[in-house]
Amino acid sequence: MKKYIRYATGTLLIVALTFSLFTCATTGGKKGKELDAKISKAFGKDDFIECAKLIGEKDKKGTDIALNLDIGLLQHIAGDYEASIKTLDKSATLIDEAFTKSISKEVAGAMFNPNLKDYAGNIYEYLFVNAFNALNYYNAGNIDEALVELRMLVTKQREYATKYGEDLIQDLSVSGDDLDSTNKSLSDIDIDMNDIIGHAPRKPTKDDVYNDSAFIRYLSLLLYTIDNDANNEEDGRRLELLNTDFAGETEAVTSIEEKGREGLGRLNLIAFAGKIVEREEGYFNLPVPLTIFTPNLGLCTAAFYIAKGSPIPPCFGLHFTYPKVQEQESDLRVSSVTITNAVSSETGENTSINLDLKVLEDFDKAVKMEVATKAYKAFNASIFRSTTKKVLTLAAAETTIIEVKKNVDNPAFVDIVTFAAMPGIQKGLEALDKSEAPDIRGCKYFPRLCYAGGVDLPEGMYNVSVKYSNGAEKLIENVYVKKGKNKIVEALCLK
Amino acid sequence: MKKISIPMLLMLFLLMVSAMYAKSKVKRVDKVEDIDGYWNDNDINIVCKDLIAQCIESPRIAKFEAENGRAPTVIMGKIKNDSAEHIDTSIVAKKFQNEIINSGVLEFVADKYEREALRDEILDQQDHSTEESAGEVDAEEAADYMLQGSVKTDVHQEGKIITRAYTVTVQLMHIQTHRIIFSGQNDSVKKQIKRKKFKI
Repeated sequence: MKKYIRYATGTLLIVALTFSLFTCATTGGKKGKELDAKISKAFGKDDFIECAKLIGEKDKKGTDIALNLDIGLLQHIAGDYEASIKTLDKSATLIDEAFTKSISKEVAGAMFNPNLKDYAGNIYEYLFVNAFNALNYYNAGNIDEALVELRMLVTKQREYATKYGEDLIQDLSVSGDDLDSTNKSLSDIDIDMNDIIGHAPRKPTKDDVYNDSAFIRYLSLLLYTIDNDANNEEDGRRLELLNTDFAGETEAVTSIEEKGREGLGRLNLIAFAGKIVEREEGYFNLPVPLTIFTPNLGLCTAAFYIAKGSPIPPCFGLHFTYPKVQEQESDLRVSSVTITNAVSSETGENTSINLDLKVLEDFDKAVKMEVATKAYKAFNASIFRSTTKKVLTLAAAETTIIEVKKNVDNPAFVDIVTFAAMPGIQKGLEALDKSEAPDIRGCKYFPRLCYAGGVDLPEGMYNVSVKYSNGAEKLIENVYVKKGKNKIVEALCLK
Repeated sequence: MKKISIPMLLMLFLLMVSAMYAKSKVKRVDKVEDIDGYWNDNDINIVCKDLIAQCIESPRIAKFEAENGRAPTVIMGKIKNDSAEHIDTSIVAKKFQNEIINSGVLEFVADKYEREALRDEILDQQDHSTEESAGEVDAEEAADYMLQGSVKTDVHQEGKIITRAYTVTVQLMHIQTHRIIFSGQNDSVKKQIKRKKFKI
């Protein structure tokens, strides 16, 4: 009797243990959800500093790249440029260091859950962290350090962005060994790999690789001109290639010295609208056709057991995931820009100019390109991971039950133990599906649309009013435009 | 054999854990270690030593002293950060200034930020100090030259190897005529950093 109890307990314990290895808890829980609710509330009230502080509570170690980017961007939006500089400096270092793989977490990510891997940032985050930090330094009055950020960008684009794209296009599939193992596992349960591959996201091409930005080129053009550095032909040329609407902008910005002789300076406005689109889980479910019955636990397992006389897998499905882009909920746009005198000019004339802004860049495109480069490989990896996890789980359970059968010579008892274990196995297999989640991490507080435009003005003090389509108005007061100089003004409205 | 009790084991375990998480230790170092491959104190020392030597040996500076009977008076301008790193170039400027003053080759006057404080003090003295001891307004010594410079970097990566080469330039420019009487350059600081393979 004791032997029977021991084997029964042992079987159930081994099965339970196997599942617990694979069903890694995702972050969150009740406390996490409460914190997320507070963050949303703070963001809704435009309390960006509080929002940043609450996000900081989610990142106890202070090493989460996506969360640090979120905090840095929120501090920037709130106008706390010094704090944002520190946070984005840290984010840039973390992204740089994350290129060194953490081997143990790589294996865990490959096997269990891609969200266990260290998040290394996306390529556009890698570039934008310096661009927004350049704006931070400029707004804080330090043009030299703003230019340092741009030089860092140049190095990154030259050394990393191109190679990143090449690596992505070349490294599309899982390894040959993994593929063989997956094929075998699938064929063991009568699944043809071709039934699955047809549902994969499309393969990426070199056109999906994001490695340049009209926003960065425009910002670089402005900052270098402000620094009296005329060596920005490359920026102007690339800007016009990336966005033909800005074909005349280089000339308008760089001819400022001549305009200075006529007493004119140039006010250049960069206005951000809306929040960048987020990623979500895309998935494909494939029911495994193992039973002639409806997928009822007890019936199908019992029927197969009776029919075949050996423990075989209960009914389950295969669940494969990949990242995809959410529907963009934000429709926020800049509706008008008005520039007025802050102080009456020397001539006594009052200025009121409507500035026509054009869309310089839609950052959602960067997200779509990034997802397009990763979805195909993520889907393949999910096939390998999901199939392997389930087959391993079933194999562990099957081995245990076979051991019980060998060592206990009471067939009825073996039937009872096996039958009792099956619902647990079924639940465990379902739980594996829940742990199968694509990596959809990323900074949530980048803006969506970047508008830009400029106007030549007589030297003086001006107020700039930017109105958005949701009725919000951003007023930037006392902007001093000096003759012969470019001035950058920034406006943001994320919701 | 005496059995080890559970409370004892627990205590041993707690001792081990507390040892692992002990407070940080501070260790004073004479030489800064190059941990991350970025610009550091050692680099400032290397560069300043070389540029100061070049400045002291400059024949044009010696010629000024011979012609005017005094060392040139210099005001510290800006050492511009034209690099791809956040470098506090004011440290370079201050170190350069201190060493040159101590060598006696050049005389320095306060820079524009320091002058603001001095002028405020002189004005305050007119109101609050004795006539004999108060300083004179508008009696500052003008500088003949301004010292300016820049730090540039050239960064390249080939596979796992990142190479950073620093070029530091300083120039002495006549404030009135804009003539340059000294131009020094140091490009001896080059670093090669081997990183683990870049991988997405």
